[in-house]
Amino acid sequence: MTDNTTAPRGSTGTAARTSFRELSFSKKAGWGIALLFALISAIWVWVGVANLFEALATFGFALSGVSWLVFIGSIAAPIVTYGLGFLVGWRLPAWAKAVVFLVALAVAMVIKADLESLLLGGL
Amino acid sequence: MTTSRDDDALHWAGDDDPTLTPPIQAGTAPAAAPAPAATTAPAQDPTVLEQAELAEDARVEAELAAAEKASAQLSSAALITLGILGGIYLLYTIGWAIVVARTTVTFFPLDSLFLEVCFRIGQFLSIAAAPLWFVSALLLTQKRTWRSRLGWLLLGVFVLVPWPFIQGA
Repeated sequence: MTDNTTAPRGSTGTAARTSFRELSFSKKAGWGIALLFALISAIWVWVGVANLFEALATFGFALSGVSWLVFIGSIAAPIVTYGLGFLVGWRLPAWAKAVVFLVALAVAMVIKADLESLLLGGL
Repeated sequence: MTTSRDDDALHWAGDDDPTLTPPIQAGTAPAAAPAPAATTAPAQDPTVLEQAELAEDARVEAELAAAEKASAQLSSAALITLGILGGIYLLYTIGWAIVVARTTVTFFPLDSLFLEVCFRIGQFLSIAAAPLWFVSALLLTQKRTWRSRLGWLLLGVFVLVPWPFIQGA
């Protein structure tokens, strides 16, 4: 089972692992969409990391607890929502995967804005 | 059908021949077709067609009832609930739009075009999150039960609360 988590299930092949080449077009499209949104999410993760380093360079490590929460949360939000989107869209067709990932990304942006408002004090 | 003299004008001779049944109808009622041919009762000659038609009618009515049952899932209470949830999502959208419109201080200086573009896309997505969640939850739970549909929509209500707007207002 642990070996099978990396390879997509549901194929009727006798081998435990099926190569990417043997997948149906719709499953390939699903993995392509997952990869595309992984890259898009990674952009925001990178932005969050860059912001964290900029803050560390400016203020040193003497950040308040809320600041750490905001920085770590901003980095973690796209990762967590992407993972949840991956789980939700696991059995869905490719187009539905794209919808789920888009919603997940939007939710990550909402969480980011929520966290940042903790420091900025609302509007 | 009767076989009175008055009705004879409406018939062609040999109309009631069971072998003239169209192959489609003969296919739908294969069990009914041979029986009258075996009895060959003159008074029951039209029953081949009639039985086929009756079988067809019964089948269509059963299909219609099944379709009505499948499409009649939304009771009025469910419709009202969906309307209320839609209103909440609309308010959330407006709330996020106001948050974005009033944002003058950014959390970090947008000192490059790349960061600026990322920031704008993020702002747009935070406004679009509520309608996106609502539409996609309705779209993707079409084949699911009403409970799972309601669950996904309620989860969105908790996740997408516009906290910056509530804090500022």
